[in-house]
Amino acid sequence: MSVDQVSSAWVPLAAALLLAVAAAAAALDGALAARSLGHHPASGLLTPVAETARLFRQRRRSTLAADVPLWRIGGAGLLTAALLMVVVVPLGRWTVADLAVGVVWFNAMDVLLWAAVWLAGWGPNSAHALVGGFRFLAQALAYELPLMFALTTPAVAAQSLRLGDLVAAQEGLWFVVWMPVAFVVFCGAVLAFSVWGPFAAATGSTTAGGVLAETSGVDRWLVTAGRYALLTAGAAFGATAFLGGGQGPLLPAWLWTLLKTAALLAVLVALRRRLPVLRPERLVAPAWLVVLPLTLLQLLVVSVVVVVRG
Amino acid sequence: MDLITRLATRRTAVLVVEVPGWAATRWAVEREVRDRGWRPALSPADADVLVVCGRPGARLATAVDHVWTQLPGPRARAALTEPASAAGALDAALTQLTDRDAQRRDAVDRPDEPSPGTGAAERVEGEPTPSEPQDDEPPAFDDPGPAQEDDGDSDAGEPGDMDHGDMDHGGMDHGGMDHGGMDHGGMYDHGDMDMDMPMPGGIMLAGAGGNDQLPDPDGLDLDVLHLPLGPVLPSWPAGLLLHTTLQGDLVVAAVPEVLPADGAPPSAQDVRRSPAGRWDAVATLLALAGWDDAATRAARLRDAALDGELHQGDADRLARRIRRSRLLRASLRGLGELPDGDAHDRLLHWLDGAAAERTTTLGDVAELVTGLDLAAARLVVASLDLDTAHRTPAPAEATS
Amino acid sequence: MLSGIVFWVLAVIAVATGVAVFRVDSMARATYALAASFIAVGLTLLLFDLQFLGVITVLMMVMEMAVMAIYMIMFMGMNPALMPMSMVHGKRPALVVSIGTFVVLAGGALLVDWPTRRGAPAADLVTSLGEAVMESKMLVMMTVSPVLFATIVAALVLALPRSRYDRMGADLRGRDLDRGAGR
Repeated sequence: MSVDQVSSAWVPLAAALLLAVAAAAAALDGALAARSLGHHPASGLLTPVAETARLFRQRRRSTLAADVPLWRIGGAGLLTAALLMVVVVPLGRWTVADLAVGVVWFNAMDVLLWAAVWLAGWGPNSAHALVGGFRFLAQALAYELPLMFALTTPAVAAQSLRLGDLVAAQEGLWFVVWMPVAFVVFCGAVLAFSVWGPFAAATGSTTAGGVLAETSGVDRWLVTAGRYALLTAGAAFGATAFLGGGQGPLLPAWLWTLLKTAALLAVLVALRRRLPVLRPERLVAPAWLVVLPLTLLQLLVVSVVVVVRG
Repeated sequence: MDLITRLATRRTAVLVVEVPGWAATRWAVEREVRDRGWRPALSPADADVLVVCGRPGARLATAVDHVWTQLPGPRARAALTEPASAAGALDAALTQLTDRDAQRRDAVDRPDEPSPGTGAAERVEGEPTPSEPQDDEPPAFDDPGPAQEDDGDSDAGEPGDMDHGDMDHGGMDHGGMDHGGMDHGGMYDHGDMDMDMPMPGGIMLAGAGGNDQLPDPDGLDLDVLHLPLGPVLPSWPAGLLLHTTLQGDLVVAAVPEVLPADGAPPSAQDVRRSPAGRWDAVATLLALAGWDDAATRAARLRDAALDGELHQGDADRLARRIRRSRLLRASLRGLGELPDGDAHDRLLHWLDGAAAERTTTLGDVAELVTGLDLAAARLVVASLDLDTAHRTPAPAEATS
Repeated sequence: MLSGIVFWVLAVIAVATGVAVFRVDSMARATYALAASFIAVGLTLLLFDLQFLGVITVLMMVMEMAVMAIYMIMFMGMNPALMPMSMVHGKRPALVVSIGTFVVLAGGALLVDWPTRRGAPAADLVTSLGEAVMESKMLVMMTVSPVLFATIVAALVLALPRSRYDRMGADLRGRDLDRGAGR
C-alpha cells in the first residue's frame, strides 16, 4: 500500500481531525468518570464541551513575579507538539508530510515536551508548580530511552524511518505480533509524555495540581486539550507503526487507521481509571534496569529476524 | 441562563474547606458535589466555588479570605455548619455563579495585581514567624495572631549571605557586573556578604539558609524556602498548618500547628471513629495516590456507611481491588514508618476495620515528613488520618 | 524564493535568540533561548535536505537544554526566575575569543574558493548519510556506543551511591557517606 503526500491545504483539516478525536477521548473519560460516580455514563459525554465552556468563561490568572512568557510558551507547547507529531502519521493513503525520517520526527516532537511541561511548571513562580515540572523531568529521564529503542524496533524491521514504509512492511503481519514488548513500552511512554494515568505525577494532587496548580481559564484549557491531543497523536502513531495503519479488509484504509487509533486511544484513556499514580523517584530504577534491557532484547530479536530473512 | 453558562456550570469545581470538627459537613458537601456531577478542585486556581464547612477561628478565617482572592472568577462563596444545608449552600453558590451582573461587579472590584501567596498552600497573613527548628518552645496553638496587613514577605529564610562560594564562577569578581541594563531597584553584587537582598515583585527570595540550612543529601548548596502547607488544601487534615522548610523539593524541617475552630465543634459531627470515618481516610489517601476511580468509590462507601446502607459486598470488592494493586503498594511502601507499619499497612488496617487507636501527636508528623520530598510528605500525612478536632495540644518537638 | 525567505527568517531567529542568551537576566530564559537558537539551526539544516541531521539536532538540543535546566537549579540552588542575574562571566576574554572565531569563520566562508558541485545528491539521503558515517566503521561504532553509555551510567552510580531520597536514610539522620554524621 503506497502513501501519498496531500497538498498543504489539508493541514487545517488534519488539525481539526486530531482535535475531534481528542474531544472524543475526553468524552469517553467523562463517561467513565460519571460511571464511577454512580451516574449514567451518558451524562458524562458532554464533559469536554462543558469544561471548554467553563474554562473559556474563566479569567486567566497571573501570579506574583511570574515568568509569564515562558509560562505561556510552556502551556501552549503540549498542543503544539501533538499537532506537529501527527503531521507524519498517514491517514490511510494520505499523509500531510511524507518525511523520510518520520519516526525521528515523532521522537523529536515528544522531546519538545521536556521543555514544555517544565516551563509550564517554572513560569508561575510557585513551589508546587515547580516541583511538578521537575517531577516530569525525572519521569522523562525514565521513559525516554526505552521509548527511543521501542521506536527503533519497527524502523529496523521495515528498514526505513518513513511511516509509509512501516505500514507497507506490515502487509500480512502486524508488527505488534512479533514485537509485543516494544509495543507495550511505546504505549507506556505515550501515557508518560501525555502526563496521563499512572504517569500523571506532574499534575498530581500530591502537589496540588503540580504544573496546573496556578493555571486557570484558557491556559488550563490549552494544557488539558494538549494532554488529550498528545494521547491521540501517540495512539495514531502506535496504530500506524505497530497495528498495521491502514491495512485491513473490506473497509477503506483511512477508516482502518481511524478505528485502530480509536481502539488504542480508548484503552489508554481507560487505563487512568484502573491505576494509581507512580512516584517518579521510584520509576527510574525499574525503567533502566528492567524495561530498557527488555526493549534492547526485543530490538536484538527483531534485528536477527531481519538479517535471517535477508 | 444562557447555554454557555448552563454548560459551564455543569462542571463546577468546588474547593471545600473543612474547619476542624466539621467532617460530617464536608462529607455532605462532597456528596452533593458528586450527585450534581460537579468535581472537587485541586487548587484555588482550579476552583469556581469556595465552600467553608464550619465556624473557622480568626486565623483560619484569614487564610480562607486569602484563598478567596486567588479564585480566578467567575467565583462564588458559601458557608455552612450543618450537613443538612449542603444542597442549599451549593444552590446559592450556583445562583451567584450564574448572576452575570454580580460577577461583573466582582471582577471590576478586584485588584489587578495578584497578592503574594504560594499557590494552594496558603500563608496566613501576618502570622508570627514559625519558630525556628532550633527553638524548643511549642507554637502557641491559641494565638490568633495579629490580623495585620500582609507585608509581602514570602517567607525567605535569613536574607543576606548569598553564599555562592561553592559555585564555579572561575573566581570571577562579580563586583562590576553589567546587569544588561536591568533595573532591579538597587544595586547588589554577589561578592558582598550581608547585602540587601533584592525583592523583585516585593518578594523576599529564598535565601541561603544560614542557620537553618541542612547538609543537603547530594551535597548541593540549595537555598531553603519556607513553604506553608495548609490550612486550605484538598486531601489535607482540617486546619493543619505545616510550616515546612524546603531545600529543592525535600522537606528538611517542619513545624506543625492547628488553626482551631471558633469555639467547640458540635459533638454530633464526631464521626471519625466510625466505619464511615475509616472509608473517608481511605478515600483521602487514594485521592492523593492519584487513583481517582477507587477514591470515588471509597467516598461513596463512606456515604453509604453514614446512611447505614453499606453493602458488605461492595466494600469487600473495593477492598480486594485496593489490596491487589501492586502499583499502589509500590507507591506507598516504606513511607511513614511507625511501629504499626508504613502507609500501605495503615491503609490495609483501615480496610480491615482494625485500625489501631493511635494517638499521633503533631510532633510525630514533623518527625515523619522530615527528609521526604513534598509529594511523599503529603502521602504520609494522609496516611496518618490525623484528628485535628479533638486534640490535646502536644508540644511540637523541634525536629532536626 | 520561498526557501530563501524561510532561510532568512530562521537565520534571524537563530542569531536573535543567540544574542538573547547573553542579554536576558534569568537562567531559564537563557537556557531556552539557546534551545530556540538550536531549533532554528536544526530547521535550517532541513533546507539542505539533511532531514535526519536537522531533526536530530532539534531532538538532542531540546533534551540537552532540559537537562541543563536541572543542573542550573542544582548548582545555583535558588529560584532564578526571581533573581535577575547576569549571564556573562569573564567578559573580556570571551569577547576576544568569540569575535576572533566569528572573523575566522566569516572570512573563511567569504574568501575560500569553494568548488562547484560535481556529483548529485543521493536519492535517499538518510541511507547515504548512514553509509558515509557507518559503512567501514560500523564495528567501531557498535562497540564504542555501549561502552560510552556504560561509562556514563557507571560514573553516575559511583558518584551517587544512593539517590537523593535515601542517601542519609529516610529521615536525613543516617550516616552521610561524604561528611560523617548528618545533623
